[in-house]
Parts: sequence; structure tokens; C-alpha cells
Amino acid sequence: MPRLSQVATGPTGLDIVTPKVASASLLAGLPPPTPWSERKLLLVVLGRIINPAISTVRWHAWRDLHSNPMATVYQYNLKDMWMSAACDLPESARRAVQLSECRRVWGAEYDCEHQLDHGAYSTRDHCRNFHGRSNLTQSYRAASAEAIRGRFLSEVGFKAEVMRHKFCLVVRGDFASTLKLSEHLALVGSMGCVPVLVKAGDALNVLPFSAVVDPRC
Amino acid sequence: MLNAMPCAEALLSLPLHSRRLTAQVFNLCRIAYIVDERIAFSQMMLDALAAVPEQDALAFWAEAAKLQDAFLYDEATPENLRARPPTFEDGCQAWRVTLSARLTPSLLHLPTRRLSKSPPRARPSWRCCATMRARCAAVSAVKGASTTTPRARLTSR
Repeated sequence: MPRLSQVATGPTGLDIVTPKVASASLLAGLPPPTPWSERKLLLVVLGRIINPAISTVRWHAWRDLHSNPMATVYQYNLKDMWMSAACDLPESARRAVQLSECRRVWGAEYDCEHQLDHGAYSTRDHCRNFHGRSNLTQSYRAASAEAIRGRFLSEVGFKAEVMRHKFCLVVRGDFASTLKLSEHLALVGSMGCVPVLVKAGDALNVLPFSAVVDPRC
Repeated sequence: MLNAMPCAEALLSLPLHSRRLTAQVFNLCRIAYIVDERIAFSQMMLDALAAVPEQDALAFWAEAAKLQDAFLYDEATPENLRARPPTFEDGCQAWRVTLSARLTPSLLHLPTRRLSKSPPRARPSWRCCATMRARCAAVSAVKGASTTTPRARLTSR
């Protein structure tokens, strides 16, 4: 008789079995596909860039691609991470850099000092998840304010972008499997962008759907 | 570089979620590229993608069109409409089983079909448990459901 822990995890023991199918409504209202030759190259929908203690792959995707004209990158939450932007610096120098990053991203009207001292996240250890990841904080400070502010992509906008790009990057989120995978595998059947699945990390040495797919060599 | 990773023919041996999904053989490499994180964001990778001809994309699209249903769940199809949607009582039952299994190690050897209803996630807080217990008790009282304890019910079968 299997034990509870065996039922809860996939055959690899690493991934969590979650329902990953997209709603059929995904195909409703799809714009007509753009001819191949007129398409932009790579769509990178990162959405929420996750806690680097879980995975840094979305950070690396953003860092390497946000300023590349061959890629269209969407993310929306880096602007909230200004408090972590100085974690690679000595504690004595952090405050000034944090405030400078806050004003750069949010503008002079935003009360950065109040947020830092009394805001909802003021008591949190903002560097807890950034230990040993100085390259992330350095790339944050090196990026333009516009790139950090990012853009939120609506469902309608997402469908439009899928139909006007040749390829779309599928990068894991909090878990190895991401709903983006199912969405893109479904949309490519309607002449959407061709998915480019990023296999990330030694601990996630699994193919997509490996929890439910039985490889047959 | 593209699809340098192992990509074997695969069989979808279990439904991903939907009852209407039947087992299908597919090769992921015919509908997607798989690349390693170490090169996925490099200029070299972008150049390789830029060199992919339209004929390749046409082949991907044709193959993916045949598999599209496998990745979609249509709530409006007759067979899905006929299926009984989960009720709150289903949730209560799953919650009781999960909670019992979590609190009583001797029940870890329950039949898998009961446990698979509710894979354990984060340990629920006591506030969550109290709220759920109260709501489930209220539903049981209204519907005249059995008030036996989960353990008694499970061990009496």
C-alpha cells in the first residue's frame, strides 16, 4: 500500500502533481496569426518574478533579455523589490542605495523613507532570499527604471502577442510545471508562437509533464 | 543547440485533469523546443532561433493542431456538463480524510483513491481547521449527515 508521501509526489519525488490544463476559452477571440516573416522573434512572459530562494531562472531570463531588441519581455513585480536592491552592499551603505532605487523606480512623489521605515514590509529581512546572489541585485541597479517598472500583460494582450511572435519562452515558476506550458502548447496548435521550454536546475531535471508522462524510448 | 536535451516519444498515460482526455502518443520535440537554462537566454540562442525557417514552424503548427485538445479543458462539452460538479460536502470529506491522515500516522495506509482526492499541501493553520470544522458541521447538521468521526467511518469499512 503506498504511503501518503508517495501519493502526494510524482514518480520523481521532486514535483507536485497539479492539474495543468488550460481552459478552452483560451482559444476564444484569438487574433489572426501574423505571417512568419513579419513576426517578432521571442516573447518572454515572466509575469511575477519569483523568490530567488526558490529559483533564479526568471531573474536570469529578465536580466539577460530585457534590453535585447530581439526579445519582448513582460514582468510586473520587480518595481516592488527596491528594498532588496542593496543586499550585496555592506549594511551601512544599504539605506542610501535603497532610497535611491526607490525614487528612481517610483518617482520623487513616492514617500520612500516612510515605506522603508514604517511600510507594510518594513520589518521584513529583505536580503534573506538574496544571500549569495549579488549578481541579481547588481543587475537590478544597472537596469533602466523603465525595465524595472515592467509591464502587465492582459489576457487580450497576451493572445495578441502570442500570435505576433515566432517563439515564446516557457520558464518555470514556483513549481517545475507552469500553466504557461499548457497555454503555449495549446496555442501553438492555432499557429501561435512555438514554445521554447527552459529546463532549469539540477533539482528539476525533469521534462514537462514528467509527473504524468511515461517516457517510452 | 535546439532540442539538444533528451526528448523521447512519450505516452500520456494518465489524464492531466480532464475526464475527456484520452491517452495520446506525442513527441514534445515536434511541437516545442527544449533548451537548457545555461544557454536559454544567450545571444547565441536568439541567433539560433532567428535561423529557424518557416517550414519548421509549419511542421510544428501541423503537429500541435492534432494535439491541441490534450492541453485544453472545455467546461461546456456535454460530457463535462453531465458530470457532477464537486460539492462543498466533497470538500468536507476530502478535508476530513486529509486531516485524519495527517494527525494519525496509523491511517497513512489508507486506500489511495481516498487520499488522492486531496494531496497535502501546506499544513493548515488551526484557524483554518476550526473554520472548516464549523462549516462542515453546519452542513452535516442541515443535511442530517452522519456525525461519526472520520476515523470511525474510515475504519468501519
